[in-house]
Amino acid sequence: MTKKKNKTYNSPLIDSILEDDSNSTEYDLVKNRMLLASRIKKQMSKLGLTNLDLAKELGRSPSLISKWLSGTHNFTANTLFEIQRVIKIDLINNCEEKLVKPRYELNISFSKEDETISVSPNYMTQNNLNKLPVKSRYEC
Amino acid sequence: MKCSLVKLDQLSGDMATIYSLFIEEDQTTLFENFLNENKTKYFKEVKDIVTRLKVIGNDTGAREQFFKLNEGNIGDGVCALYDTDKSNLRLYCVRFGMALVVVGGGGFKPKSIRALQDDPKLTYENLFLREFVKELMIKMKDKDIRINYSMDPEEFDGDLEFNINI
Repeated sequence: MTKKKNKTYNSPLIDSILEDDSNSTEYDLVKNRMLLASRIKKQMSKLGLTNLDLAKELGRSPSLISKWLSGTHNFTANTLFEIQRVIKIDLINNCEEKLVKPRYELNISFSKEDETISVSPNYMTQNNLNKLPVKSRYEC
Repeated sequence: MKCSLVKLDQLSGDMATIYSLFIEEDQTTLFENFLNENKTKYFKEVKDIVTRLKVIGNDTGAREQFFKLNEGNIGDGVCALYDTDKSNLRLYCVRFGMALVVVGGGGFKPKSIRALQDDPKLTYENLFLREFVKELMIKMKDKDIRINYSMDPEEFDGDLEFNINI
């Protein structure tokens, strides 16, 4: 076998298209669409689901499913909800990014009279708290 | 027509190697011809196609779902990068598994056509790739070309020059 070096080719035209100003955001948009489509298809394969199976489950045409999986489709949230119910993975939260628990900044004031700690309104409203009772040091 | 397989460096990455055919008499690749022919009228689509190929090379690999299969002879791997009904352009490729793609030419896809044979430009580009694959299969059978699986991702190795006649 004649061995020849693998020729690499750099096209100035491809460079000019890829270096277009808006391209980095567009690249990420395209990448995310294609990664999402890959995730869906991978999970379908895990579950042994064909495009036809998914189409039947969702009451859609097989050609629409192919389009969804092609990496060109911009999903609505509703469609993702429908799909994830069938394939049983979370697509909406796109679990590559872990959710960060919200932190609360507390304004704490201590009332000596009734020995309670008051916290900031936001925290109280979300957690249905009024006042947190604190044991008196004499009771401890 | 003398041509050679060349690796498109700007599109290839960790997930797939993207090739095109360099045409000696034109001194450009089939893919560049496609870009030049369509970038003025359909720049947005051309940009989307280039971006998708780069994502295939760098992030996802050449997953079957990103292509419309069976655009050539049975089993030869000739396919098209997925285009929707609203797309104006069709780009023919040859897919060798998840990690090797040869990007060919293509063109405007008239909405009125029902079959490939209805459009002479698309017919030509499609046939060119079919002939390329025939030649490639002969070279692989004769061990003049092989797929180097020790590379990550895979690459073609050997005599990468062809003479395509259609």
